[in-house]
Amino acid sequence: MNTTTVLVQTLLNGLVLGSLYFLMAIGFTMVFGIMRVINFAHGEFYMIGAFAISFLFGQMQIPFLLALLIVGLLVGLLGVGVERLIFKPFQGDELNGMIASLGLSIIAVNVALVVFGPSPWAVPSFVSGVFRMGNIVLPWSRLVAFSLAVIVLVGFWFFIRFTKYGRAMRATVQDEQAAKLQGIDVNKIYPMAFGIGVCFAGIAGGIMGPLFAVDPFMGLTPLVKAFIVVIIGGLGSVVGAVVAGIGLGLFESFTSTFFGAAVTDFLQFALVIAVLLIKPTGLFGEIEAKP
Amino acid sequence: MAYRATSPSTNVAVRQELGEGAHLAAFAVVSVAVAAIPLIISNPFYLYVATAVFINAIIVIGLMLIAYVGQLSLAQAAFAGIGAYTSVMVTMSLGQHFLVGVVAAIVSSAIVAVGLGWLTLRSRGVYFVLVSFAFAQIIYLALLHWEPITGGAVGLNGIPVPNFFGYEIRTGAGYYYLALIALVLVYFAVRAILASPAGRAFRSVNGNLRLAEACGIPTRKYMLLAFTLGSALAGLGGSLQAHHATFISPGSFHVTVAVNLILMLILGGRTSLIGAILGAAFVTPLPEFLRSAQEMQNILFGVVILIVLRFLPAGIVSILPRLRQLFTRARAQ
Repeated sequence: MNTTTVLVQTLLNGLVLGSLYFLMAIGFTMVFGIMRVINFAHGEFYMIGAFAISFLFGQMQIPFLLALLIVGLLVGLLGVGVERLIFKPFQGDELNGMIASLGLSIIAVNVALVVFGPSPWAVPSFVSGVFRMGNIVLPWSRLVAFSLAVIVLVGFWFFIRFTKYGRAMRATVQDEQAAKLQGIDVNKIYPMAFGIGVCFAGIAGGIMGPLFAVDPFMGLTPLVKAFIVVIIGGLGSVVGAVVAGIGLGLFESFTSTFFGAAVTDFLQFALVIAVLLIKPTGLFGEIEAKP
Repeated sequence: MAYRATSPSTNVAVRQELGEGAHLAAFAVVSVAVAAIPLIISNPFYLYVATAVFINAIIVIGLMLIAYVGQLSLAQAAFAGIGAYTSVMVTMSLGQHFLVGVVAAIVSSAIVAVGLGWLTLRSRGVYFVLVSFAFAQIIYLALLHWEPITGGAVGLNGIPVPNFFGYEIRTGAGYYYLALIALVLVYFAVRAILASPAGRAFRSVNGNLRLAEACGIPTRKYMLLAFTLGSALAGLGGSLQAHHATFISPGSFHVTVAVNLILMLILGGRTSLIGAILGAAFVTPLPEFLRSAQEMQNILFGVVILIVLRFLPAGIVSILPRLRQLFTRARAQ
């Protein structure tokens, strides 16, 4: 293994991690930007997506892309239901919404424990083999995972940029009162935003599940990473989530390759504290803390 | 925020609950019952759980003090960890007395809280939740990776039990009373603080920050005071916990533990002293009993949280005045 090989592989690992992080963070930040709910159950939708893919693709043998589509749809619909059932009463109430999500998270993890059991499920890889170029050997599964994440991101960008509902969502993030005055119905936008937000988490779980182990507690780490990404990128900012997500993935991959995992953990939390002190709203954040 | 909407009513609830002489009788009955438990129950496991309730109640009271100025901290378990590890180091490595360890725990967590609060209490609401979360993770990682001092993931065992005048507090009943005394002291101290001008300033900060500022109340100073006191109580609780279990590991101070503490506070009633104790009493035993059906019981726990949030936003404690109302009405008829 020469230096170039190590560098390229570290880079790819960083990009795959980064794409997982931005998929998680986009949904998380969108739910906050629109509903002002810090969703502690976000990682649980990732976990549900991973179990759904291991059932649909791993056991039912449905083609991977079709299975992923179904997973996205299912998790999105689940999100809409959860929003109506659990979060609706806490509209405009940041702290109680957050606590409700803690309750939801406890329920989801324990239901998963009852239904799927505590031991990790193995999911077959959706593509096998490696891509070779000179000395560089890259597994196809990681390349495909990264590409899928980018496709989802581009699709989301088109939605938020050019469609009626995308515009309505951006308006709600900017100023909810003004958006309401323009005839935007938040009772439609809230469940839609929550559904789309957690749908990304479900898709992230569906793409990444086969790369890692699938178990009921798997949602915690991606949630923590989503936290870090949105703090750095700015709570409520989609651009910030993408930039900080990729940035964190690369940062983690390089520091853990060259300095070890423990140093990486410390450095990223030190980075978080530094960002919070210097620019509390994050690099791309505009939403101010309400007094 | 509902914080604002709920806190005045709970304050009234606390005053009604404790102010009048008639209820001192009820209070005395509860006190005697609690004090007599070890004489009736000798099962060491039950006594262990009851002691854990007292210790958690102390930590949750600390969390309540922080909630009193409108902040929610996810670092409460981390501060308990700072207290626990400091106390263990002072008693084990330096060979000092248990009480010296307890004082060191309180002081060390207070010092860290002053530093952290000074830097971060500018942010409020969910932003402070995120800051405290990041801090909690750093402390957890430090406990995990700083192996020569903390023993790493394995933790430290063989922690000495308290020793007073040659008598070691080894029995469950002994530690039960020790923790009970600590809780009673904390209870009256915090009650005195909340009744003092500082307590009024805390309420004004929570009620309306801008208005409080405009009235010349140094809001940041009071927020820092409440955060420091609350975190110091976590340090005290952590120290008591360490010498009770005689074993500590970083897992006991993870952010998921902090989440449980928040749930205790919310269930009990977020700005009520009695509520903090009730919350600890309801939640602490849950994972200890019925270990076999833990998942089902956790699901139920989550559902209860959602129901309490929705229908009893001021917590279990808000049932007390309602019950009393029903009772007096029934008596009048």
